[in-house]
Amino acid sequence: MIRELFTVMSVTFSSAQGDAALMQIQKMVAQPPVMCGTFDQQKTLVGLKKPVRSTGRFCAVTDKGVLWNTRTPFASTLRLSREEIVQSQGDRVTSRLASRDEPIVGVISDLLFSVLAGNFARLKSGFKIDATTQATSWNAKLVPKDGGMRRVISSIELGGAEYVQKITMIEASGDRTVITFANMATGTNALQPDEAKAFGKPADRGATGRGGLER
Amino acid sequence: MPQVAGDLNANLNGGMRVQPSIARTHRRLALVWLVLVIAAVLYNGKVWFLDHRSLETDFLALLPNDESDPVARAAFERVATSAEQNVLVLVGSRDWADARKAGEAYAKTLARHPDWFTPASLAALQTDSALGPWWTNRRGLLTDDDRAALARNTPDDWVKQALNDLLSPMSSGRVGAWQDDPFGFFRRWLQARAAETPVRPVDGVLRADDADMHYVVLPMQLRSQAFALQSQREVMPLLNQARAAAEKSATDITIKGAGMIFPAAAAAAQANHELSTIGWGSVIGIILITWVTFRSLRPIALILLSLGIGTIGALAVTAFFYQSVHLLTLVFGASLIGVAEDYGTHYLCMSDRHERGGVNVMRDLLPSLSLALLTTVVSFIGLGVSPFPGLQQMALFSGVGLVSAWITVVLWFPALDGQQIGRARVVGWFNWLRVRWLTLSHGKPRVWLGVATALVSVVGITRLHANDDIRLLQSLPDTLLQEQSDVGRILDVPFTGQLYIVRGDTEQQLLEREEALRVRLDSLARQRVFDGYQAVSTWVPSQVRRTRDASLVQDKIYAANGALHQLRAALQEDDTWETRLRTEARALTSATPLTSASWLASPVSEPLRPLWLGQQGNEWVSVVTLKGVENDRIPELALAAAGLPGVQWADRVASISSLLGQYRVRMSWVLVVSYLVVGLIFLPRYGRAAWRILAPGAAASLVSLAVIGFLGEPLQLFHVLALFIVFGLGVDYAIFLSEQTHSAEGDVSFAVGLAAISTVLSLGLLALSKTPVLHAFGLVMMVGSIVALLAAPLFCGVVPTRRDRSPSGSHFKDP
Repeated sequence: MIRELFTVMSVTFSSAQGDAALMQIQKMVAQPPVMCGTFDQQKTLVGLKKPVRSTGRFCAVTDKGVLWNTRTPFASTLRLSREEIVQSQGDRVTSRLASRDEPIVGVISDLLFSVLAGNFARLKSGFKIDATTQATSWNAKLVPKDGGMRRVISSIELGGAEYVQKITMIEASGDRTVITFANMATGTNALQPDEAKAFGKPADRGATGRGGLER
Repeated sequence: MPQVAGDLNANLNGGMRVQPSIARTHRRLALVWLVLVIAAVLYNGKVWFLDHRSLETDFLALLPNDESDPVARAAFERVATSAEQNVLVLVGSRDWADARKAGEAYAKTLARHPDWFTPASLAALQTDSALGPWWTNRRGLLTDDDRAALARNTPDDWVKQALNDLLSPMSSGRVGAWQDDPFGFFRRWLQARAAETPVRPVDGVLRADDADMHYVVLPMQLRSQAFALQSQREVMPLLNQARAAAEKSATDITIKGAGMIFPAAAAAAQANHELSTIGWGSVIGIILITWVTFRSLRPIALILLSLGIGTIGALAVTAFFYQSVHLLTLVFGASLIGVAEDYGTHYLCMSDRHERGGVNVMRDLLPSLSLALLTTVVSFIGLGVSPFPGLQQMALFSGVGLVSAWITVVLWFPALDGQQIGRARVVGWFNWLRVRWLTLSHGKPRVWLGVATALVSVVGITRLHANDDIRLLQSLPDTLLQEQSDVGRILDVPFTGQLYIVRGDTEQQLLEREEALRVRLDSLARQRVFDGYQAVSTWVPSQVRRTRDASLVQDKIYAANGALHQLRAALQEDDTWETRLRTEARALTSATPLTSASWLASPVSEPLRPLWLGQQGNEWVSVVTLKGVENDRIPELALAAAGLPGVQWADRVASISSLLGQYRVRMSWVLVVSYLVVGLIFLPRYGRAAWRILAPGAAASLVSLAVIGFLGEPLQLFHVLALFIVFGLGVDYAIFLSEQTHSAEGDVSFAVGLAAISTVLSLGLLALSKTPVLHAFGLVMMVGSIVALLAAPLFCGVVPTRRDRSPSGSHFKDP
């Protein structure tokens, strides 16, 4: 009886603590409307001896989505918005997935944006979150609540301070992606001209009132 | 009818003297009838209360199976049945969390009633085995785009694409690890399959989006037929309960339902509501009139008794011969039994003129009552011989009902009518009106009246246009129609009114033929002729296609200097890596073949299963359904089947509509023939004056048609069916008026007038109905019975019969 009571209490306690930690993180994370930086991504794939490394710049703009500009080993651009996911090399679009054809596009874009921005309020609905905080930094482990999602992503670990600094994504297949961020800048000036141009297009679309990410 | 004819002859030859033995026989027969009636009551009790048999409300169930092709019929039945039992409910909000909460509340309410609903299971879809057969056969699965790209692109392009995918920070919807599908062919193939529906599993539920609305999709299977009244009565309150629960669980929740149950229930509820409001209106009207006339409730009780027994007998016999009794049979049949009211009224109006007792009155009336019954029943034989199950059922129901009511009047009324039934001054007023009508229209005015009526009728009838489109028979509330079409649009579900039927000698041939059809359909869809289609071969490509696709991949990707080799260089992997991937790919080629059986066994086939009829006798059959079809594009789609072996276009809406048209024409002829046959029956009795018996009904029919023409309503089968009843009424009135003796003239005319007014009150009021079938029916009855009432005395005052041809017998000379 006492043990059961204890269990109940500890469960309540730990989840309260988790929530408290999340609230603390939420206070630490800046979540600016415009945020750019550089990334260093390392993919360790099942069956490949060497991890695949890529570097480049990224931008996350509230209501407009995410721009993922790979510079090395070769130039490649990925733009995610609520309406579409477009991959291009230079001016050539290599693949385009519109939410009209694939409704999950919005969900994927939303997820990536929330992860980059450290928007735990948003992530909470889809993931079980274990969070710990230190004086100026924090860590969080996200496990998808949805069984279907868990069959693709086993877990996502986030670490950071004012911004998310490191993401580790472990896929169900065993493939593993580690991304570290640096040189964070915020505000409209953070966008380089070509990046502002890339966001220009979805911005027009956003004006129709359809709403981008993060309403 | 031999017995009736026998009675008739006895009357004609034997005169009117009453013998005690006849009274005894009468009593005995009345007892026999009582036993039969009790048996019918018991049988009805068993069928409707113990067996819980339910009334059918699906209009289509009335129609004959016109397709000479049983396979086509099976195909439609398969698709229609699955559609009939499906219920789709969308619970939506601008906020996904709210939508989920409300969706959960909705599902929870229905989960308490597992005996009515089977919720679709999401869990089954999310097991690894669900996609197993495709995963192991992935080498032969290519999207149309990839197939074209493989023919066009260089290995270098594929390497770039593979590396691009690799650099993406997301796993972008891959199944398995990157190396299992490095060039993304299977991922894109799955995406193409997924793109066929906008519904996605998100957060453990199905989700579909529409602009900024998020919907939880709740697909369910009804455990019963949507068109059975009983299940509508049980299921609709539950759905409403669930709706209320969902609306309460969060603010601003939008709920949209689709499925046959909604329109079926709405239509049945409307018909029910109208039958009860209009029905009560007519009952009250008739009771009032009878009360005013007879100052006694006994006559109304007697007439209701005869109608009640008519209905009970009809229902029992129909339920005995048909497993499902249709609501419309009841409506039409019960109306027709209403004609039987004429018998009772006629008797009651005559009974107090005789002091010799009821049986004697009955003997006097028997000739006219028998003739009236005979003619009406004759017209129903015409209705019954058609290979139209609905009409047969109606004919049986009406025929049995009429005979039962008739027997009740003939055998029971003399014993039950009590003593004198007094009558108020109404009879006087009525006869004053009648005489005014007759004198006003006497001589020249009558000729002018005839000419004017004829002219107006001709003008009206030339304005008639027929339209048999079955969609005209729908009368759903706009909100319901909107909901259904919203759900159709949001979920992008196919129509089932038109489809292609594909056949082959073997499963593989069938799949190849589907693929040939799809080439044309893809091109039509690109031209935006329609939105898309559903076909099993998208999930189960033919062996031929998969072999061809696999060898295309082999050439471009796995060949010695193909994309895989170059990718290895880009990734700085060694030879073993390349060899391993190549070996694994080759192993896939010899994996278990992908067949319809593996598709059927997987939960992913659930929504498309009705499309696959499989082996039917010597052939394999499947169906291809269409999405987003506009009416004016149907000919183009029909043409797509032309010249393709084993592919047949089938348009159920069109074929049912044309069937209704055929029967409209056919029944019109049967009606004309009925007039001729009844005319022949009267020939020996009335000689050349026999046409007068037919004239009131014919005039009433022509004027009714003209009114339909003037109102601009399209002529339909149901108008023609109502003309059958007008025919019966017209002939009844004519016979009663012709068979009267001079002294009884006022009473007989009054009886006819009373009958006609009751008919207007009972059936004519159906013209107010919003249910198109009932409206059409009521309109004709309203106009028809009024005109028949007015016309009957003009044609048939007292026509001399051969037996009673004295100068004084005729009230007026021929015009």
